[in-house]
Amino acid sequence: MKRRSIIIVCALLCLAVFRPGQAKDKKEKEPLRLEIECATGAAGFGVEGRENTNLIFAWVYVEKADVSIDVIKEAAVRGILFRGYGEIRGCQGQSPLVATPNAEQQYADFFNAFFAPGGKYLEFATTLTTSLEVFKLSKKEYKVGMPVSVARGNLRKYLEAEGIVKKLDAGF
Amino acid sequence: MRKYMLLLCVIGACLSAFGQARKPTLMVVPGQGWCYKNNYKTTYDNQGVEASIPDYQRALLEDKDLRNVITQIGILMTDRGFPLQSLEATLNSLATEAAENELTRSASGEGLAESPLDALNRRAKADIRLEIEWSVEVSGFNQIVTYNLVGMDAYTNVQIAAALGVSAPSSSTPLPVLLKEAVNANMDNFNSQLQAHFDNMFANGREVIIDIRLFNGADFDLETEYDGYALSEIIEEWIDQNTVERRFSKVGGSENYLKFNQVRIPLFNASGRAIDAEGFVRELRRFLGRDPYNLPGKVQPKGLGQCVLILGDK
Repeated sequence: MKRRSIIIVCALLCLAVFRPGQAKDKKEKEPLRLEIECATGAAGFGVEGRENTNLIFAWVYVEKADVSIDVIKEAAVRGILFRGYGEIRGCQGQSPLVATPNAEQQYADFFNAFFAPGGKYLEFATTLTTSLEVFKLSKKEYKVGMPVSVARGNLRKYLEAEGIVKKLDAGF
Repeated sequence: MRKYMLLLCVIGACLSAFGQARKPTLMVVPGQGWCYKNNYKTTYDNQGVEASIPDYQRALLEDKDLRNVITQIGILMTDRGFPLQSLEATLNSLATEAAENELTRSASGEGLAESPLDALNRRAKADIRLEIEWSVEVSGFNQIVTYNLVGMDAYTNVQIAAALGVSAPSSSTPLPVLLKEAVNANMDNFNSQLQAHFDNMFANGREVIIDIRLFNGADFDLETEYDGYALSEIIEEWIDQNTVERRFSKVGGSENYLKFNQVRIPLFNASGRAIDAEGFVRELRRFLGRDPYNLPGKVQPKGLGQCVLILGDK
């Protein structure tokens, strides 16, 4: 009886320490290694984009290639917010939407909620194809991505309303 | 009850007037180079030398692409809270006003009084001028659009924002679509620079130009001494004391004039009211109008960023 109790306690402790979801949580908290580039003017995309949107290729660097589309959308939105992209193939580069260098840390609570699973960021990104492009870079590294359209204008308005980004006419 | 409502309205109006800086006006105009290249210019004889000025009216009437580009920039700027002052509407209103003034006669047949300065002040002007230029290069079957948008402070002539882009070569996309794309693709970067300019303005004050002049009949000049100090020194000292972090440059002066540029004036005066170059110079005029100087002066504003104080009369 005593031994059984000890086994049960040990099993519970193990479960508490090694919860199946915890590894995933830890993984999600790791910063996303991402890259974005302009897709306007690329083969199959034409030279004109839609008003107030950015048409980009969003890439993530991961250990396993089975990445969900939401992760690509997150990379796309993060890229537009904090990185911007350079000029390529006659497509104009864009500066990051959030100009303050440490805004991600300054508004950590806001962005943690914004990029939470199923979060608000999903409303601003639309994938343009159904399949992911996968490149194997090494034994344990894949580059995975797809073209995404990010509603830059709506994203900016949302961030302005939340007080994260200053309005152009603020103070006037 | 009615009295309270009236009081509330007055308080509301005061609150809205305080705490908000004067909003600069923006206007898109075709660049001088683009106008000359497309032959939208008026040539005239300037004392024996042939001179040209851009003919905006004809450019707007004849160039559909120009209208489209201006409209597109207008749409995007309105979305950012800066509705543009329309060049076309301003030119039309000036023409209508001029025609009406010509026809207005009193019972005795006299026309409207208008000084040459009044006529000059009726020009189409805005605080920030967005100068747009583009050119189309043809390479084989493809055409490429080079697009250039420059934001100029109309008074200090300082470039405050710019966007330059070259479109991807295309054989099938029509020019208006390429131009629209060029505007869309460049406007956010342009606005980021405009934002940086506004941030700088809020932090370091509005940059203005101030001119001090004298009326011909004035019985003093800028070298006249008060308590051992020349009037020009007194004015310079006042500007030094009243600018943000004492930032200004004196670019010229004599016994008859003083010119200051890069004068960083605060956006609000001591009582919290938003001021521009005119408000700042009015304070200077009040200072010079008091003892021991008692100098009369006329304030002549030239928009938000430039003002002339003419001393010696009103």
